[in-house]
Amino acid sequence: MIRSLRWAALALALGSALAAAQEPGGDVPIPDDLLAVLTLRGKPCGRVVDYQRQGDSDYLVTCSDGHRYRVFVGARDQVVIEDR
Amino acid sequence: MSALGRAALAALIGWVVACGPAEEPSAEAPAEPPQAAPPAETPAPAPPPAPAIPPAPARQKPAVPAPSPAPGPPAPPVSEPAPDSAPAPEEPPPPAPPALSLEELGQRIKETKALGVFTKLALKNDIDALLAAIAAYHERGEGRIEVLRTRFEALVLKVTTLLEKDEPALATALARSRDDIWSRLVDPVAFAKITT
Repeated sequence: MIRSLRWAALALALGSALAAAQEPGGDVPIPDDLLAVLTLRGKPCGRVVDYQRQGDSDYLVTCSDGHRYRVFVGARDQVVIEDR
Repeated sequence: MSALGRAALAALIGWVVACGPAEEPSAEAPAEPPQAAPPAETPAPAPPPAPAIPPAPARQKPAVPAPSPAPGPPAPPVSEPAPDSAPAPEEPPPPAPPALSLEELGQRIKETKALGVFTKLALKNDIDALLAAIAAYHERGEGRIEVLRTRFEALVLKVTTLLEKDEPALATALARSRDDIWSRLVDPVAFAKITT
């Protein structure tokens, strides 16, 4: 009984973690979205190995090739990418 | 005596030699028949003519069959097109994705779940920038149309690449609509009617 409850809790935590990795209202995982933006803007990255949310639509991205970027929405809804 | 013996031996040898050719085959008959038979049976030369004849027919046959197959294929192609033409009517689905207008395309991109929020916003930024540059070209003659066309093509390629995995139909529609969209963008009158 206790073991099944542990499994349920683990599944719930896993589901929450996966849901948190998705942009609200979207089906695209945040790392994929961030990588697509970097690719669109011609920024070298490889793949996103880590990202940290710093605010609303504001992320610090770490790429597999060592590059780090800050990706955020600036004035007039412009997507801005800063090298870090 | 020895001389007599030699004479007798020589006579015997001479007799044996004289009869040798006839006796050797008989004497070695058990062992040599296989070897002697083939060479002795010069009928082998006779077979050559036979093989010679077959090659000729063989060469003629290919030539003869060739013509027959040649006419043959024409028949199959005629019969094959029929089966092909049968499935062809079933292929109309591909043409199903019709060319999209600029407005429809924008709406489809907004609604698709294949792109994330950041990606959509970045694309909108790029599209707005391109439209602003085209507007400057139409209104003030700024820039070169070749450069604008290159930017447009690059943007279409980016969007198509992003969509082709999860929204292949939309990617295909965009590719089909590319020339129509560009013709609208480059036409000042049609461009003025575009609402973003």
